[in-house]
This record gives sequence, structure tokens and C-alpha cells, in this order.
Amino acid sequence: MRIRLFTTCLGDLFAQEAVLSTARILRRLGHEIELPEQTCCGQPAYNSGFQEDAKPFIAAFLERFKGSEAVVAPSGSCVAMLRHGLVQFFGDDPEARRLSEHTYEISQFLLDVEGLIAPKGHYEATAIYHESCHLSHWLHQGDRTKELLAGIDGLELVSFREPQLCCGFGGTFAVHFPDLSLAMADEKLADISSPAPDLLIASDQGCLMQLGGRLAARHQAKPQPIHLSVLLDRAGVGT
Amino acid sequence: MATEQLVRQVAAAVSDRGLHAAVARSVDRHSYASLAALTPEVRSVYRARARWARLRSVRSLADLAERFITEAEDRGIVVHTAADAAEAVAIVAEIATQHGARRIVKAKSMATEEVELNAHLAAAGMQVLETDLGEYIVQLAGQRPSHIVAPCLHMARDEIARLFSREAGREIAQDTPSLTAFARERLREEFRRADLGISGGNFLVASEGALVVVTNEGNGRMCTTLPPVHVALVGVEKLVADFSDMADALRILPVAATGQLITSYVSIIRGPAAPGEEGPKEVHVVLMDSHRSEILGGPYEEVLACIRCGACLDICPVYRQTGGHAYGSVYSGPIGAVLTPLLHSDPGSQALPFLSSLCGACSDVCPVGIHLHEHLVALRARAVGRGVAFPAEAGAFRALRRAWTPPGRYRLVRRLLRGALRLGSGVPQMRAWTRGRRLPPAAPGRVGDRLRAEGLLEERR
Repeated sequence: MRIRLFTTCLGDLFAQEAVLSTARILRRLGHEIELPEQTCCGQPAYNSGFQEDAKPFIAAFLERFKGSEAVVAPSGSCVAMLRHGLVQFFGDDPEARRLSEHTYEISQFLLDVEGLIAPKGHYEATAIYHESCHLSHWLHQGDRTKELLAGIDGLELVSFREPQLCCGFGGTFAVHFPDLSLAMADEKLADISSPAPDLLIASDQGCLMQLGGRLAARHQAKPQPIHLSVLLDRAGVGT
Repeated sequence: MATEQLVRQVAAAVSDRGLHAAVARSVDRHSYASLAALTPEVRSVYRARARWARLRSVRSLADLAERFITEAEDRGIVVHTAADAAEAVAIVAEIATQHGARRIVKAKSMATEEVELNAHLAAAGMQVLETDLGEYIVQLAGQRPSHIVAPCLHMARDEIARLFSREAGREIAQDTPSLTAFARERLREEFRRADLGISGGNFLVASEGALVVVTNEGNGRMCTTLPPVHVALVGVEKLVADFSDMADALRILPVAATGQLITSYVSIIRGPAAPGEEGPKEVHVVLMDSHRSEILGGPYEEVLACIRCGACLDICPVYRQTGGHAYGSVYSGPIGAVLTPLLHSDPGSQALPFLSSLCGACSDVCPVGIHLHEHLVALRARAVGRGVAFPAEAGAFRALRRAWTPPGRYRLVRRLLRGALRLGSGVPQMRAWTRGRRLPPAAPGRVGDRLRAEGLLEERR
């Protein structure tokens, strides 16, 4: 398949490893990858109530990505925005509707398009997996994402009591209500069993910045935040 | 600014960690019980049936209201219609005055909270006593309920024992039997002496002219049978076509609320007592609109399908931190943040949809499938359109849109943003982030160059 990569702003600015890993996994699975001119998905404006300022971002995405066989991004949050925005703003355009259905978060692509179930890999670590809300609830993936981790030899997963509890990021919410957002992060982190595992896996850079940023401020070396794509890549998934 | 007021309320609630512990403990108990009550398969069938029954009712409210009034009046219930809160209060006060009511007992009702009925009746010199245990406790504390189904969920046991001891004039122990024994003794006396009983209603069954009240403690049945007059104040959205539609919604309500398959009491009230029978001689139903019909036919119509189970409050990661009072509204949690701005036009109410991380867990748990997080997002846009927004954001988002969306600009702006991040600029939003959280280092170069260097890209022909 010819896949166009949507890098996401956070991926570009902070988490290029997640973008590179996403590309490597897709390459190993035999896909060709293109990198069109990028754009932000517009979610910060959209979720803050400024929909008219979000619409040109969706328009730019449609213009730059139209005709894609598939678009893949390392963020369920951005993908949920793109899918929703394409239909809300340009629903009369059949290409916008088609593109909406062919834009995938990486684990969504691996599960639903590739049909991977517990792919083989090897990575020695203990880890805990946080279910990112927009992937679980907005894209309705529920708790299926962790099926991608089940076949990785050497990876010892411990579980949150509440794997789906929000980390408190929420985009501009994190700066609108900073005390509340931090309290939510602390509750999430308090749900990590002791001794702390090596890695904290999540599939959205927003969650990783929130929880990783909080861990760093608390001078906690473990668990290390890591994007799901990076872990799957290092484990050799797709080879 | 409405948003600043909300931020202050939230910060105050978050600084109270005892509050968080009490709320989290209670909502978890509800959520776990609810999850355990049904298999996912049964739950999804119940949910689909309940959603359909509620939506069907909501979409024919005018017809159902007409049918209900005819049927109920045939059976001797006096039906009043109230266009708004003021009318609803006036009608109830008038009935109470006519009967010379001095002592009033009340079953739990969010509709009466919505119109602040107690304060109005008290101002008219009447003594109103809440008889739901949780409501009784918050009334003693001079507070409002903090949760739709569990009014005193934010309070710790020792706090309740102190309130009861003060009321009793003697020491009441903290254990549940001692606390409930005191309330029971105190309330029994009031049921016998009351001149008037007030309740809300969970359903109004149009085909039967029946009022349905769902409770657990039995106080609802006391309020609606012991006093000589019973007045029910009910929002017009509680209408359902018939017992079959009611059953579809009732089956999921206690499961979603507390994990019970059925509540202890489901009272179906079909008129006053016949001559020679025990029971109220008069039954009144006040059918209140109060902005509900304005919601009909619009993008938020399905919100009227809400059955007030509180499941969205129980699952909400924000509510569990703040409790209900931080919202400053009668209805709190996700449904409160959606419903309140639809029922009230003041700026404070319009700001409520911002009090959510938009995780979407509420939409997944809602037993009638209301798309709560989507309504929260849409109502944020509506608030911004009405001038309620966080300061400086309008300019910032406009500037970002203009700078970043034209062709060829993405890389340039990204580079500028990266530079700004490295400088750790002094904008307030940045400070709000960095207080308590580190920002990861900005990536050094272009991701495209790195992808190309590794030979990962298929260059376009």
C-alpha cells in the first residue's frame, strides 16, 4: 500500500522518534511511504471553541492528502480530529468522506487494516500501558490496542487498576485548569504499582508529555515514557 | 470573566484532597457495581432499547404531554403546566398556601433543586424537610447536593456524625446503623405530621396518566402517601409513551446508577386515594418546561433523553477530582456541563463545557448513548460565539491559523515554534504548563530529513 505519513505537530516538535518508528514498521510490513507537506490538524483551536480557526487546517489537510490510499499518524487524538473535521466541514465532498475513513492511527492501522494479532517481537523490559482516551473512546478502539503488545517476547506488562483513566492532558485543558490537570496526572501515576516498571507506554504524544513531564518534575527516573510505535519498532514488529 | 470564576472554583476544590478521596471512593463503588451487574452483551442490548425508547419519547413530547394530561386528569390527578422555573415555583407555593401547609416533606428531586423550590417555600414561611437520607444530610449542612443520585457523596462519615449530633443535641456514633437510626426516627415523626408531600418523578407514563418515582429508601413512598396532599414537580422530558417504553428505560437506570438490577421501590402513582382508602386526597403534577422545548429539534435534542443515572459523573476523571460543587450548578459532571448551558443563559453556565478533559469516557458509559463529549465541544464553540472564552485565545488561534495554514508555511512556522520553545517563552500558557511539569526538549532538526536519511521515504515522482 502507498501510505502517506501525517507526522503531527507534537511528533514534529517533540517526538520525531515516534514518527520514524511508525515509518520503519510500515516499511517492514512492505508499504511505501510518502511525506506530503504537513499541517496541524487544528484540534487546539477546535476543542477550545474556535472552530472557524480550525477549519482552514482541515482544508489544508484535505488539499495536501487527498487521493491518499491511506494516511497513518502516531496519534489517535489527531486522527480523531481529522476524521471528525473532514466530515463536519467538508462532508459534501465525497473525497473528504473517503479520506476520513482512510486516515488511521498507527495501532488502528496495524489491527484493523493489517489484521495483526499479537505480532512477534522481542524486547526485554517491564512496562505499563496507558490507554489514550481519544483512541479508546473517540475512535472506539476500547482496550484492543494492547493486543499489539501481547506477542512481544521479554516484555513483562503490569496493568493499571484503571488503564482507561484519563491522564489529565486534554490539550488546552491542561493550561486552563493547571491544578486540576496536575492532580489528574498524579492520580494516574499513583496507580502505577511498586516497584515502578521500566517503561510507560502510550500511543499519544500528549499523554506522554503530560505523564512524562510530571515524572520529570518529580525527579522520577522510572517509568520512562515511550510511544507505542517506538516500542513496537524496537521489538522488531513487522520483520 | 466567567472562565476565571470557574478556574477559581476548580482550584479551590482541587486543593481539598480529602474531598477527592471521598468522591473517588464513592464513584468507584458505583462504577464497579454497575460494571459487575450485567454482562457486556446484555448491557449493550439494554442500552440500545433504552436509547430508542427515550429518543422516541423525546421526539413526540408535545403529543405525549397532551395524552398525559387527558389520562391523568381522567383519573383525578390535577395537572399544571409551568413554562419556566418561576411559574413552577409559584404553582407549588399556591397549592401549599391553599392548603395552609406549614410542614412539608420532600422526596429527592433534581427538578426542585433546579428551581430552588425549598428557598422559595421557606421564604413563604413554610418548613421544608428533605427526607432522602443524602438530601437530609446536605440540607442539615446548608449545602446543595453534589451528585445527581448520591447528594452527600462528597462528605466523610465523621462529618455526617457531627451534623447529626448537633441536630440531635446528643452524641451520635459514626457507624451506619447509628446514623440511619437517628435519621429514621427523626423523619418518621415528620412524615406523620406533614401537611404536604413533594416529589419529583422519574417517568410520566402518557398512556396511563401515571407518575413513576424510583427510590431506594422508602422515603419517596412515605412522601407520596402519608400527607393529605402530594405535589410532583417533573420536567416535561420525563414523559414516555407507555409502560413498555418506561420498562426499557427503567431496566437500565438502576444498573447504570448503582449497579442494582432494580431499586427497592418503584412507585406507580395513578391518582388520589378513593373515598375510604388511605392516601393523599389530592395529587398534583406540575409539568415543567423551563427551556426544555427550546432544545427539541436542535443539535442537542438527545440530551433530553438523559435518565439522570449519574453514571457519567461516576466515570468522569474531572468529577472524581473536584466533586459536584466546583461546577457551581445544580447538575454537575459531564451531563451537568452539557445540560446547564442549555437550561441557563448566564455566562457562568456557558463556561461549564470547558471543565472537561474531553476524554470521552462519559459518552461510552451513558446508558442512553448521549454523545456527551461531542456536545461539550460544540457548546464550547457556542460559548465562544457568545463571548465566553479564555482570555487571549481568540487572538492566538487567529494568528496561528493565518500564519500556519497557507501552502509552504508549515515548516517555517514549525521552525519558529521550535525556537520559541527553546527560549522557554514567558507566555502565561507556557508557565501554566511548566509549573509542575517539564517540557521535553524540542527536536533538533526536521523529521523529513531524518526519514529521508534512513531511506524510509518513497520520493514522489
